[in-house]
Amino acid sequence: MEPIISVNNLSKRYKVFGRKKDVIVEALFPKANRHTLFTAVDNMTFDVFPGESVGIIGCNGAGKSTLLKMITGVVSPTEGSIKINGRVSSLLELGTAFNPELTGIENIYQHGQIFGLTNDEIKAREQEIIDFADIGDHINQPVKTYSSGMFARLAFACAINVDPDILIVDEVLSVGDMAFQMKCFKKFEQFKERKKTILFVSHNVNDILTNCSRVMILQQGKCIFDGDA
Amino acid sequence: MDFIKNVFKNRRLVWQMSRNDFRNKFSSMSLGTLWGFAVPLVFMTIYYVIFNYVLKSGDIITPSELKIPFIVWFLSGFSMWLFISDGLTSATTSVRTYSYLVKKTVFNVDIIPVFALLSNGIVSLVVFGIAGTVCAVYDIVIGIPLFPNVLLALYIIPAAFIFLAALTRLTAALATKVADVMAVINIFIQIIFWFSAILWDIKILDAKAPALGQILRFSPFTYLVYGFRQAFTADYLPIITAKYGLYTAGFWAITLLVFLYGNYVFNKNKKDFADVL
Repeated sequence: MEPIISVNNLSKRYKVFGRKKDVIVEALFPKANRHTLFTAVDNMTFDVFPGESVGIIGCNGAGKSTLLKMITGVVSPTEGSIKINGRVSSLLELGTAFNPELTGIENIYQHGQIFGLTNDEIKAREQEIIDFADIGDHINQPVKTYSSGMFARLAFACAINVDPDILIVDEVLSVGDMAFQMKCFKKFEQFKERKKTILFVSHNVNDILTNCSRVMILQQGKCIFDGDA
Repeated sequence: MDFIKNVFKNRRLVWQMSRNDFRNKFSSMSLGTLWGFAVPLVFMTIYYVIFNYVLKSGDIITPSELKIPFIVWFLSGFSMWLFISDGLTSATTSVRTYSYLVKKTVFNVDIIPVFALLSNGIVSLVVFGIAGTVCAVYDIVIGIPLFPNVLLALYIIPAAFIFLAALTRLTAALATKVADVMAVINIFIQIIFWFSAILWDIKILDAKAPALGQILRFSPFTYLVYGFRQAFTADYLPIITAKYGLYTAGFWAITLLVFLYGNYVFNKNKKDFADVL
């Protein structure tokens, strides 16, 4: 079977500047070297196949978010390559591309527009998203007034409703209440049945064991375990 | 060229984002978009009152002894400057303002400064409209013929937009990488304001500092300010045809160079945007 995500010798090193001034010095003089490197992801290689749900665990700073950001395409790798065969929808770092000043409804539209949907297509999905998020009248208020749970609900509802082949969920569920988490995991099941792929970061080992078919454990940018859950 | 293709391919998204941007700017204020129009109009009034009554700038006499009222001279030039300064500011900061589009989702960053500029253009078109109407009414009352010069507006406004799109591609990329660039841009805007002959006539320099006068005529900012102004001051030979179109050729050459360099800087740096924001 063709892998849906194929990661090859992937590394990401961030430039770390000691002083703010060094940023300008490097920008103005291409040859100046005033930074040190922080390796967030260190030479990772793995494949993910359609229908797999991969749980990723690791301590803070292990490289989970950086890895998911690179797979999403938001951050570019320093070395190595990633091949993706499908549409990715992701919830990175507890959120999605919401404008805090816009209302929930307006953000549903903007989110859809960014994903290339027409307003008619968004209108067709609007009610489904509102029902899934289930945050009542708050949907007409600016997103900045939301509790973190409400934000996560709306973000998750938007992310699953653009019909992705790959769903990337980075910790976002941990702020939702039990009922919402159960609803999301039920959605995961439907996803798996339709041979869609899920990458799921959580600090709750139980959630990963019950909902994922495969586990990866990350430590200091390296994958130290990769196997069945 | 990828940039132009990108904007064209995503034109629907560009338009929707610029409308959203326009509404967002004022969404937290009770009177909403009214402020977008009120602020430039108040500015215009203040500058007009100070320069007309306090500093007594007075009418501008054209080569054929036509008297152009100061208000016509001022409003036409100042509305172009407002378009330039507001567009430059908002498009330069746009990638930082929309950092969530860069960091949280896969978004075509090429179009961010473009839609910021377009959203800004909504206000500017209204300001152009108001300033243009006032100037035209004065022209009619005084008896300055409107045609054919007034048609210059149809050329100079799109030209200003194209120039700013090219320039802000450079400034937006730099300001995203190094926040200090924004401070430099603010100083730059002040320099443009005083050196683009918005409140004075560039002919003044011809007697005292002819070289500076010539250099400033080649500044794209002066070109745009005079281009729009001359739509309402028929007597002048428009800057766009002066010297057999030399200034026009200079304007487009500078625009092209700025675009090529801006394109290079933007493309080279855009993969790092998510890392630095």
